[in-house]
Amino acid sequence: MSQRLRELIRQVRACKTAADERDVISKESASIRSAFKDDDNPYRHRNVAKLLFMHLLGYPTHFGQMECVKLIASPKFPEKRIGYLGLMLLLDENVDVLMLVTNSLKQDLENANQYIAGLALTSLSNVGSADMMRDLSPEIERMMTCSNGYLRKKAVLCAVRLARKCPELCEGVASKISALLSDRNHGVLVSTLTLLEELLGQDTDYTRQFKQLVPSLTRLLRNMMGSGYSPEHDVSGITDPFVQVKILRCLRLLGADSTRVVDECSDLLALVATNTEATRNAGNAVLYECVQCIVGVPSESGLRVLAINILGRFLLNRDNNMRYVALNTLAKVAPQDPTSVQRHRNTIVDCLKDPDVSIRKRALELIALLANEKNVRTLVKEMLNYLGTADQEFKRSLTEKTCDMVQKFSPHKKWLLDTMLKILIMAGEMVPDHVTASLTNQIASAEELQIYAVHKFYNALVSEQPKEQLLLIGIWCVGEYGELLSESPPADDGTSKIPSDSEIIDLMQHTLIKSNSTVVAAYTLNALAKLSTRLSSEQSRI
Amino acid sequence: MIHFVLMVNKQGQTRLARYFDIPCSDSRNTTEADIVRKCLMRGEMQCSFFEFGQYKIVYRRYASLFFIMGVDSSENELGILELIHSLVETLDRQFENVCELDIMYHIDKAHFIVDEMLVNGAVIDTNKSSILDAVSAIQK
Repeated sequence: MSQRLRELIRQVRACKTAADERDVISKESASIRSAFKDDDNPYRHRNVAKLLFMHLLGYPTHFGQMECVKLIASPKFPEKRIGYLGLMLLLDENVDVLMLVTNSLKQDLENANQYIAGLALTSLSNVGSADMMRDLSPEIERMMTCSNGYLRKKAVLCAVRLARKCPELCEGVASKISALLSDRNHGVLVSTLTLLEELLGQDTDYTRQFKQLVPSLTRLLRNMMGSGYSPEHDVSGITDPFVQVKILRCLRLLGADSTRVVDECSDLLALVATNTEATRNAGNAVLYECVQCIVGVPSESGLRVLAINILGRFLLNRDNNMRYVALNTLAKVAPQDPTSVQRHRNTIVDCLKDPDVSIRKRALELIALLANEKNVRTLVKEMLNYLGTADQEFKRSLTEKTCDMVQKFSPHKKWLLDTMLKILIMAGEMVPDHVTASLTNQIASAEELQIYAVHKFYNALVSEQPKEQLLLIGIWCVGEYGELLSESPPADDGTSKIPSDSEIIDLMQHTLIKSNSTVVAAYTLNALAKLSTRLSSEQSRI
Repeated sequence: MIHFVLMVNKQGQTRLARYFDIPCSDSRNTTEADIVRKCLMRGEMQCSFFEFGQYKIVYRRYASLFFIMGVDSSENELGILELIHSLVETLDRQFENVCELDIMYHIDKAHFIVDEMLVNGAVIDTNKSSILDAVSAIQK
């Protein structure tokens, strides 16, 4: 006796353990399987509904696939409906069983009842294989211009799948787009724009042909912005933001390499950018798409500055989503237009301290893009301030990026040395090896700084708890330039004292004893060997 | 394009799963569980998007259900948030103050609503009246 879907759901909900649930499901599975063998079962659609529920829970349901095919062929509407739903959920285009459905699909597409035809179109769009699409493409094309808006919109989206699977069949489809753009039904509009977007992404021949559509697109957008309140399409005060966003995206694709297109739409873009309300998410979504459009086409500089200012406003918004989106887009703009982005540098640096890790990561990448000779000192100061309090995961990328920036843009070597030392003290274990290697190179090549360097490193080794990287550089330095330690340090280093030779050897001994890494020990021995030739008074101790 | 739509509750139980153009595989359940765990770990103050493999995940929590959409990285995230909100409002109008149990017991109706709004990963209609007209006519 088959039970209703609700009963099954109630039973599963009442199960206290996973084992109980498995029991209930396997019992039900078995009864469904035996029910399917019986050809004349009146409860077939109920059984398939239960199968869908079990599929949701993650249990195997392959035995239900043939049943879906049988249900689709049935003349009764509820059975057909469940059959198509099962088709979309349980099967995908690789399953052989799908081919059996092609005939039923063809018949249903021509059915007088618009809901049946609609069901067929939706299923075809969701799971149609390339062969099926090829077979049924004449029907799809015909329905794209039929008089029923409900079917038109579905047929257009079916054509999107056709374009994806069989691009060679799209001539007929492409020719219908300009007529469809003047459709009054917004569902048809949004589907047509998706089709346009799909075709633009594929073939450059079409791009040239579709450039003629730009005037109708701009007219559509203008009407939408200028029209009064229309309750069926309104979302938080914006008339159909979904269509607006799609139009902007199509304009971006059309204008990516063509200044003529850009000329035609630049005042429209300026209009959208200034008139769209930015108080609710819907308006912000349209603004975001508009900014991406301006940034993605060769627009004039005034428009670009407008776009970057909008992004700056997003950055100040309390909503994290806005800031994430703004940081992402600014990272794309920064390589082309660094000066305008620099204006918002302070806000970006503030984002480094945000509690949300995605925002911190994006802010860090953006700062790395913005660094140049002039601002590197202030930027690095902020980053070092933050390094002290950053969490482990973030510390590594922060350290690496800071080292990169310091190495690339430092104004002079002394600052480079100071900053690298600070980084090594704060986060030595995260500094990548190539950075320490290049640092040693730089010290070796800068004669005037060697005294300064060796004093600083010596002091650091003595006073701080050095991490491995700092130890290595410090010891190397002291080894190489040990004799310079006995000379007085440069004037601006006033407070450090001149260490005696024995103190130097003390330090080496201390390091050797305390080290638990062979690399450090090797370095220390190396340094001692060098020192033995230079500090003759201490040879015996060595 | 939108690759999948999920409605998952806070305990990690999937209440509705709709995949577009992704072949059926056994690892679906584990992927769903992973995504939900990540959503649950994020706090109130964090933004609603994150990356997961090749998809960008956009999610929002409404009462006890997480509405999750996995999209291409080129999609407008704020637009997807609007879409999620539109879907929730349509479900609300259909079920009158929709709650998790409504979706559980009327999963087929919920699927029909999703079908009227999204086809093959693209938005087909967001006009609530036309969607609900179609769904109620189908019931007869």
